[in-house]
Amino acid sequence: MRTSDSKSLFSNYETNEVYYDEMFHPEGEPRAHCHKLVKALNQISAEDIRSMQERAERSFLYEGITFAVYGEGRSQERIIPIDLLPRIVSAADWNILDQGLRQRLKALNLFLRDIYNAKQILSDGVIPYDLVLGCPQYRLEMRGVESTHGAYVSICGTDIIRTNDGFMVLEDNLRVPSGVSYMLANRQAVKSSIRNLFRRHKVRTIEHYGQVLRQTLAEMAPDDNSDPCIVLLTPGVYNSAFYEHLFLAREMGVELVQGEDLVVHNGFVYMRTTHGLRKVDVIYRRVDDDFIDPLAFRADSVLGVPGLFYAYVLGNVAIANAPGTGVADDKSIYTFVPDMVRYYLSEEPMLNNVKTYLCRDPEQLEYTLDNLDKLVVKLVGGSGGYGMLVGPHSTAKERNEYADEMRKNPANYIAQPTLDLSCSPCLAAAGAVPRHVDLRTFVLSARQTRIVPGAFCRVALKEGSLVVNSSQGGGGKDLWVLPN
Amino acid sequence: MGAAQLNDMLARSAHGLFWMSRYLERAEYTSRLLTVQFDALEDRAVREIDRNWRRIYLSLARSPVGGDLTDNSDDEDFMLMDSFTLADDLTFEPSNPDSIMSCMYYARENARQVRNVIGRQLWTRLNTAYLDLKNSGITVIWGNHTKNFYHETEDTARTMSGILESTAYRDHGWHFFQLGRYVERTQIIAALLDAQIQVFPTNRQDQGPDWNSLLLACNAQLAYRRRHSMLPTDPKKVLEFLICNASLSYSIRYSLDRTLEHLHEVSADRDELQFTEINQQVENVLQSVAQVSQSGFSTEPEMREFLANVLAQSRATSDAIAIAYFDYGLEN
Repeated sequence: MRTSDSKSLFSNYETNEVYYDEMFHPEGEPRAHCHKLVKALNQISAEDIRSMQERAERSFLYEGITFAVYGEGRSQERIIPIDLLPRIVSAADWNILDQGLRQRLKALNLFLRDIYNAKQILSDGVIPYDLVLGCPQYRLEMRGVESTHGAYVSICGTDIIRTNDGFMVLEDNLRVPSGVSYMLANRQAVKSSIRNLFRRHKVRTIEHYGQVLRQTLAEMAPDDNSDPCIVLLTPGVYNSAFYEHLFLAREMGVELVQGEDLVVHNGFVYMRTTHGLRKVDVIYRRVDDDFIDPLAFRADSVLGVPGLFYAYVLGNVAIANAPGTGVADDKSIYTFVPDMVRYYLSEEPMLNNVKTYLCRDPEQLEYTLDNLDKLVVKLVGGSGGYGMLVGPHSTAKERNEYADEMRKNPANYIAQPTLDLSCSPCLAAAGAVPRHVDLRTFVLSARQTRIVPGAFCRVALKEGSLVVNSSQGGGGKDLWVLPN
Repeated sequence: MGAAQLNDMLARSAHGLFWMSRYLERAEYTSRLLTVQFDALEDRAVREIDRNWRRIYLSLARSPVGGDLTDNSDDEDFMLMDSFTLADDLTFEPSNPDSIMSCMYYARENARQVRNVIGRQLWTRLNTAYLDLKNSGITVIWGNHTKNFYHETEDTARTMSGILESTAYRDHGWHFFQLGRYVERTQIIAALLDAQIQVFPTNRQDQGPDWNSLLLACNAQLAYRRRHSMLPTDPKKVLEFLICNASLSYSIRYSLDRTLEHLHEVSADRDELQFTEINQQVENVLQSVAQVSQSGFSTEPEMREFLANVLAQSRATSDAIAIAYFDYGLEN
């Protein structure tokens, strides 16, 4: 289908029935909430937009909005390519997401509280005992630990996709979700490039995210301290998300600390300042559980703080997210999140999961192995697109090798159908072309649950590719949420 | 909670700012030395240029590439070839810790760690300057515009200090940035003056240009002319000017005054011995500068001994700052 006969940005843009297009109906007409933008974009030449895009990417490099790719050496600093054409979400669609995400995080936090305390959901047989207690991310050390306001997960990054059947949750990132800095950087880039369009659409603001995050973290402080000392704990400059850590520390106006900057003394955590030691009340940690405290978890960790977990258990410092939250974003447990919603909230889930096959079950394993060429197979504890097999894009040899690995430890794998990820227009040499997108939302929870109306929209820049991860060559887009 | 405590900051960030500042100061200095040198290359005698290279390398306590300079060579082609190699060593050589590239690299590495406290303008400027430098090379800059290149690099380094000067919140971060700058400057000037005396003994006749270029290397030519209108340039007066003048931003006296001023700011409310000792150490050096101001120098060995003491004391101050403010233990 063609959207227009004139020679404009969208004159060769193609849509179809298979993939939901975020901007156009299958027949080629712009969707109601995108009319104004399509019309305005058609008045700008593709060349002008391209030069704006080059400028934006150069500014990313100069400002150091980069991430490191593992295995490429220390000097590799890459930008996440930005596509200047925004993805627009209508107010009605955003309301569905907003409500669904709140509901989901509430259930997940109740689940975490339950499994580290009464384990009622396991006794009631809703989720198998061994699936939870045998999960490597289940932390025995967390048993009996209550988190302030019940918020084990204070910062949640949930990945959402859209198909012709509507929105679906692809996964929840409940440990140290990243990407929010790119949401804000992409907004800045788009705002300064197509200022007038932005203004005319009355796009809802996201710039206050840093303050909302700070407020959320402050609510986690022990003893209701009204002016707590908050720090952001980073593994350091060589971490792939170091830019984001810097960015968030700056946005919140808090110190960016490394393990060596903190000491635990008499059960309290202190940081070294230029005026001696200062007590720390809340730690927003961007270091994985394994590495936060060599006395409690991995003894060989040099990134953490000896005694930190002890101070946490005593209630003298808050850690966000709490240790042990990874059990709830394990890809096997993921399949049970809709059940958690029903069990804890007595509500029907507003956001559906993607159909998932648990390979720990022999029948589901057999189905997966028989249909490897049609499925996407993932490691249950994996993230970032690593260790994943995209069946339709794999060779027979790759599938055979992968199947051998699966048979050795089936419980380590889940499979999902290849998803018809929605498309959104992206800029290419010939004008706008459809590319697959998803979005990562950020939900904050402490005394209250807060969602800034925006998301990091990830885009698979290669034609036909379904992999949107930045570590696998994906890019980013600004996401515009329109007002009610 | 005292005023100083309200203005404190993470010790490691202050450490990063301190060293970022030191590297920027050194990058600016090396760029300026090379601007002066490339100015000399346009019209000065080969022997003079050769001695200027010697001064640069002595001041950096580094051996020139190839081990030694081609002393007493009057061959201009040979001298230019040397200049190409030496300029490359001082500008782009990654193994030379004083090369402009190394200084910018380390300034950027420190800045990367403290980007959350230095603001976007400074980081972007520093990152852009580094990336531009990385994409350049001696063959790219060599030619008619070499001097301009060094001039611009010096300006860029200075602009970064200027950005901070006009935008920084005056907390401990600011004071440690300033401390880094003035500790580095004290050492740079002391080492440069010592190198000058070695290469251009003060009792030699007709060496006005050599001392004039020293003033240029210290950004002091204009101020010196306003203060001392007589010509030719008097070596002893130049030395005294660069050591004792309290208003000249590139004098030892001025650098020590500012060092003490910022030390007082960060040690307010702290009466433990180690903090007062650091301040006392700087005051002692200032007293020795006051003595020079009153009675001058009688011999060159005396001058060199004084400069060596300034250098040693400044290094000790830098180490003591690190122990007291950045790397202290639990008992502090």
